[in-house]
Amino acid sequence: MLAPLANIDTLKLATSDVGGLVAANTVGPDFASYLKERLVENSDVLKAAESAASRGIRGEMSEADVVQSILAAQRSLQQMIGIRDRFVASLQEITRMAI
Amino acid sequence: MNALRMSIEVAAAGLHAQAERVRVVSENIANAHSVAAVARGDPYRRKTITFASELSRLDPAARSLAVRIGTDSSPFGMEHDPGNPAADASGNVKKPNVNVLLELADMREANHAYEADLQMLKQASGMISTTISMLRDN
Repeated sequence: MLAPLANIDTLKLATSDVGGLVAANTVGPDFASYLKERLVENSDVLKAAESAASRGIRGEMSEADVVQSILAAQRSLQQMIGIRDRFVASLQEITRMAI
Repeated sequence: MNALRMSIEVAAAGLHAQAERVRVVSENIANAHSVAAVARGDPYRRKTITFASELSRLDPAARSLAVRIGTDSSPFGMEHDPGNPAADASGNVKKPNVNVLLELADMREANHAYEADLQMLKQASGMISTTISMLRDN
């Protein structure tokens, strides 16, 4: 019913991407484009939750469906925030590196 | 499909099924005294709901839940009420084959099943959230 959420498996992909950037400058999807893709996916889930909420208020959708949709959006957003925090933390770690 | 997310979907199917069940029960109770509109006609016939597991549309490995609504073929009751427009020549009226006590018991069962499904949904959702929160705290 919903667009596929950012999967837990993608975390593996994210870390391997970051590793790829650091270890060898291999050609492939960089972290920025990866993050963009995830953000687009995430916004789809958020939009679905938003429309579910308004349809729920109008009485066109059952409460259970609305709750499910909003919980999915919440999980998706939490996951995005988690990935972002990790990435920012690793960047900060690099800036603190002794030269 | 991801197992935890699948369990949320299946629990949601259970919620739908129990909601349908409550709807059928309320129909039966609301019509427990509905007689025919014409003389010698049949009154409201009790609706039944049955559940069957079906293959999930999202994941062929999982079983979801399907609802079938039928009618109860048990005989109608009879009551002597000559003034009723539905009465036959001898003044008897057919009454619906609804037993309100039975319907109330069914509603309680639906309520418990609904709560169990909600708990399942909460559990699976919580497990996913806990996994995601691993990202935040070191």
